[in-house]
Amino acid sequence: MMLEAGFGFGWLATSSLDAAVPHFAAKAKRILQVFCVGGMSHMDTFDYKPELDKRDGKPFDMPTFFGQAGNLYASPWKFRQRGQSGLWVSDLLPHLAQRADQLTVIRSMVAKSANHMPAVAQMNTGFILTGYPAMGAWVTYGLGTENQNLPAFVVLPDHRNYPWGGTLQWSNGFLPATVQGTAFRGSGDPVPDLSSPFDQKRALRWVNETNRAYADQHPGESDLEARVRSYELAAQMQLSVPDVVNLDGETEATKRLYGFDQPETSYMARRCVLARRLIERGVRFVQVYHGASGKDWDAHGDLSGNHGSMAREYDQPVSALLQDLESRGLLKDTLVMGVTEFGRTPVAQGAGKKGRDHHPNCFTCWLAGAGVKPGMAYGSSDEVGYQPAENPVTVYDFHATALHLLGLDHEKLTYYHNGIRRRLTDVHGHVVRPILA
Amino acid sequence: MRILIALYAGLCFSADLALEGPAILARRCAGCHGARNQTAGVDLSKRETAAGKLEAVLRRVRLGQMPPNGPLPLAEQELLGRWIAAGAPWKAKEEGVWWSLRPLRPVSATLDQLVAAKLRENGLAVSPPADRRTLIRRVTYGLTGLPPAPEEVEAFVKDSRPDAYEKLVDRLLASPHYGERWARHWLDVARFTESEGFERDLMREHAWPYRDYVIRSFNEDKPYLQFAREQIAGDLLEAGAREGVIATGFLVSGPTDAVGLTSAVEREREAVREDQLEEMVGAVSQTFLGLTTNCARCHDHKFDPIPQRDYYRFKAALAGVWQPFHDPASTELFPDGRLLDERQQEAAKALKNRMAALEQRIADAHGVSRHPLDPQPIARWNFDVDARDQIGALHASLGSKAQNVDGRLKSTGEATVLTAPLTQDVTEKTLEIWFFARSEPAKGGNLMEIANRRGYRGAAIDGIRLTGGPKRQWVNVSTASFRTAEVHGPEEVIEPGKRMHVAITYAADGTIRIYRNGAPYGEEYRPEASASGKLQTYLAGDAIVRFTSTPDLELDEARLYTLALSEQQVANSYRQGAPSRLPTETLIQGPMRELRALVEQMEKLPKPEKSFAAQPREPGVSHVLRRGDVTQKGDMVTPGGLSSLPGADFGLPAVAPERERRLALATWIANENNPLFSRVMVNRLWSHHFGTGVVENPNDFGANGGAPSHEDLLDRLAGDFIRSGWSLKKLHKTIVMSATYRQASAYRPEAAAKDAGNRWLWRYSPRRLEGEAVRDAMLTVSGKLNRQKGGPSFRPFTVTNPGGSYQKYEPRDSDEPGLQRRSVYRMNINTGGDPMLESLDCPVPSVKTPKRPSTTTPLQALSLMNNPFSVRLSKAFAARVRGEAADVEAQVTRAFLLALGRTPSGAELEAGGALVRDQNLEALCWGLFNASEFIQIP
Repeated sequence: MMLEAGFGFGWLATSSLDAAVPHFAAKAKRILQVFCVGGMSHMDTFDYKPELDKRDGKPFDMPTFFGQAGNLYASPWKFRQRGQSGLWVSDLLPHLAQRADQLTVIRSMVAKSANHMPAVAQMNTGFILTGYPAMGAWVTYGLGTENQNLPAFVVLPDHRNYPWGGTLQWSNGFLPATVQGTAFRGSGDPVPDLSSPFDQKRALRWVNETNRAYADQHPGESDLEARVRSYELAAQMQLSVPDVVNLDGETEATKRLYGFDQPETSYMARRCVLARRLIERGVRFVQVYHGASGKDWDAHGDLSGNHGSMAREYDQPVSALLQDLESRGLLKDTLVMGVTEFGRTPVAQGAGKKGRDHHPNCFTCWLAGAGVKPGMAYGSSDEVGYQPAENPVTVYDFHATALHLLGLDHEKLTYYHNGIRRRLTDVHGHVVRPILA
Repeated sequence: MRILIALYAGLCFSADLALEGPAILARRCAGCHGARNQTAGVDLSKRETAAGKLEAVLRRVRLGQMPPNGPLPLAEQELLGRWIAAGAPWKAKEEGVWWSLRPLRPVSATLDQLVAAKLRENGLAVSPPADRRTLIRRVTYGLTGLPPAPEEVEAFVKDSRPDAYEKLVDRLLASPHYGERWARHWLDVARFTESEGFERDLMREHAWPYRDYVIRSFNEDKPYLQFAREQIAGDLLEAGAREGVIATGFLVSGPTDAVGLTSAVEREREAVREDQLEEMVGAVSQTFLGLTTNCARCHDHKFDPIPQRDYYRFKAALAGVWQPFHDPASTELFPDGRLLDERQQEAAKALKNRMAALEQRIADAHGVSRHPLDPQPIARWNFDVDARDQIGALHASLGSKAQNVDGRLKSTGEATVLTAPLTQDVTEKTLEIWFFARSEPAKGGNLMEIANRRGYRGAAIDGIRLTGGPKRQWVNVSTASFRTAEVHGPEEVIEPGKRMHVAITYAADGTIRIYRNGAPYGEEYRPEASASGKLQTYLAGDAIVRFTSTPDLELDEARLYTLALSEQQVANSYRQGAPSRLPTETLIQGPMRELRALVEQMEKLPKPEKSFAAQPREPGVSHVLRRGDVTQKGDMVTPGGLSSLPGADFGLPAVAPERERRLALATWIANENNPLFSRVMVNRLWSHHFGTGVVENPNDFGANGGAPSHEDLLDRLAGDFIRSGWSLKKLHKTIVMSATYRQASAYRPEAAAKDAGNRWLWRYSPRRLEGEAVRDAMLTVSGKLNRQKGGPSFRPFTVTNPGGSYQKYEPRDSDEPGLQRRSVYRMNINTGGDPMLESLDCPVPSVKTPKRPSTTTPLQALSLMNNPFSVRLSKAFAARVRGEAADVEAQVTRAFLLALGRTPSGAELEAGGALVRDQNLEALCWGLFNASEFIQIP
């Protein structure tokens, strides 16, 4: 039974989560988000700053999270213009650089917090406090599911650990538990309590008959009907989940493309292939994490070493994912979002040091696929990448735009909770129209 | 009430001329031309008397003739004009007041009569009474959260006395399980959480006393008024009262952004603190008033009469409340031993005095001069017999590797010795050490450091460091080199057998200066004043001092000062310093022996009880913050309540002490004149008993919460509640004794056609048990329930700590007795949720949850089917049934009775028997746990 009949929208989130009609014509049917945890540097990836090269080692006055602003620090990586579009991508990401013509790079992102956990939370939920629904939960709430055998919102955490904030990052918050993200685990049951510890065939038949009879004796109780159905769906899920996570059937070419064969890329490669398989089976929102609390893109001390090794894990699988999605025709109606919680400072962290601090004032995210103009850079940062120079895009704007592509009006996707019709975008957000295809 | 009108004028009723027009008359004219002083025979206070005079009023106003003390603002003139032009529609003040803010009205009709009247209005009628078997199941779950035992069911079914049901209700309300059940509901609202959330989610080891306090309060039927006041200001109501201190755990149960609170950037810290206060304001206001005051932080409330200013007044009343601010595991919440009993406190005091005297004697014997004009350290460790602080309370324990030899700290390998947390903030400071070099050190080391533990990765350390080769030097060490700099001092050559003195001073302007043997060493320097290069504050209750002893360098004495000693003072201290030789044994033998004995005695005293409760600090003046932004300070505000309710002005100045603010807030909120206070609580009970409240969202009595279904009913019960002396048990009894509660739950299509949501209560709404109740029912039915009450929470998870500074929780199940306790005693960890409970809609604990959703999902089915807990308990259930019934038929019957409170029908007996014979009894028991009937309250 639903607690709330939100604002003309709550009814969509019925317990069966049937796919619902969006607010207007959608460009994208689903979202695949790749999240670089720890803060991927913009000046070392997509935001070319020749001025930074010129002023390398020169002082620059700015407050920083750890308060040890050193001097400006040129990127250790060379930038080049790539593809037809001439988009700048650094040598840190040689594979993704080949996909430049598919990317829509936003170089003027602005976030609210310089702390990992609240910043990751903002990218996921719009809020820096915990307890709010993740974007995947909102999308599932708004659009329902397209499949009955898998959860609508699946999270593939880094193989090493969960991101900062753990399960709270894919929580349903105050939305019904039906829209909660389900994290697939790397070992054991991918979904908690998936496999049966004993032969339940006979007993399950008894349960189904008993529950069917109970529902029949209590006509009009929709939740009793839903309960009967939930056991049928559970049984289907017991078959479909092991099937989707079994990558054995992937071709050798695919495995090579993603990088199954190399130790650096093998984990991320598997997650990316799994993400594609989930997308193929109609999962609405898939979130792939790269990096976790403890091992992430958080390059305070050694930018070259940190970003170097993280990028080696990330670059090829994600590039392969874009290529694979395109060749399978999935990129047409899938929005791929390359995100991180914040960027990094143009200055080194500490005098003479070779790392960068957290930097929410300005950073880069990218989009690809359904509904966005490919091979385009939007917004820009100032000459050293300290703050947006034009067209700043807040996390709210970013979310509003993604919802828009799914056919959802971010101001109408609301849920009443403790006094407020809550939104993913709080009271902010504008659709970034210039990037829409 | 004037404010209210103005407020409404500015807010939700901006288009409502019918309110604004009369409001202007009331405000500007009624002083002379009101009901009392009808000057010139004009009374503008009522529609009837004002009629016909308004055109003249407007004319005079426009001419500036009225009011006599100056013309009306043009905006008001314009508004008045529009109002009169619109025909001067008139609404009384009362009509404009949102229903929940109006005073309670006396209602004479009974609960059942009021419900029946609404049903009649809507062409509906109440259902016939539920059968007894259903009723006992319903009320037992409702009041205790546990299923009735089969024997209790049978006894009640057979009990034909007229008061059988009342007796049952009385018995249930007297059961200790009643408090456990209703505490869980309260803890949802109080967002009771036993971990800090955010990045690290460390455990709050001592939050559980608050949970026990809630259970105890419900079981004792503590008057709700007192219960509420204690949770807001219990520590102040009766000084040092244990119960009251624990109760304030309510205030601080929200999440802690430990990283943000210790950020190097002050603005970041302020912003995080402001968010924390917003969370607290939200909790207090939603819990006790059902108002979302927190929505008015950035702007006036969009829907309710709460101007932004009110938010900041409310916040000012709570601005002195802090969470225990460091690693919860070692929170010494009552360092003064406040919770020791009186005798113990006396004993501790006597011991302390005696120890101080002995320490003085030993110090005197060492020849430590204490000239009254010499700067006094706040802590001093002479390492003679232990690592205790001879001045303050920064005692350290030696650990296994270090020991006291020859009055020095000596270790075989490298040993770290940590003190207790600081008892005061330390900003300006001096660290000072004497050490003895036994041999040329193999490597460098940090001999004495001061460190904030809660700081993020090293946001704060300062200390005395001897660098390693090739060129040995003294430096100030700070993590990530924040305040570390090369001072170009001479190379240090450590000579074995020599004693040395090193001090570092940290002046208020940020200057850091190192001294060696009483003389300046190298250059003084001032680190870049950019955020963290500046002088660091080490926090009371968090920061510690850390000594490192190596086999080569033995600490002889260390001191900590809260000022930067001058060059002269360092030189003096060095000269007088710690003597290079121990006094003769005989001189200190006696006192030392006694001291050791006393230390042992001290350790035997019961440790002060700990509780995660409010830690008040004196707050400064609060300001309105434009857009809620800490950098945009607006007007100063005084502590106060919400201006749309009576008594909102506390009469306190902006600088009022913390104590007065919170006491005023507690008495203003928990007050019979506050109509929300009683209504909101009555509605909470109603909501849990009927599945939906009279007001649908129990935390929102504002405009968004919707109109009440039975306003008069709420007032009737609230009035009774107050008159009963705020007895919750009596309120429960009134509700569950009503015919409305006792009616059957059967679905009636013709009634559902008119009222599908059962808003008018034409039946009892059947619903699913909450997650905790499902778990507790499995434990009860299988005979495994451990009814142990209170105490530390059980932890059905393992804790791993891969990154060091945060926790990761993995669920686990086992049959150890501790894990078979009721779910209310389960440790509430933000990221430590249990898949089965989560699938049954148990919320993240730090989210305020006045009402839980009830969903049905495949993941829920999977959990009930395959969760290790559920499978294990099915087996236990089968074992129990086997022990209580011999043959298959009896076993099936017994299993049905235990799980469902009824015997199986013939067909059920047959199907159940077949399952047992084809597979086993475990399969049937497992099946019963998965039966809809098992988890449904009929």
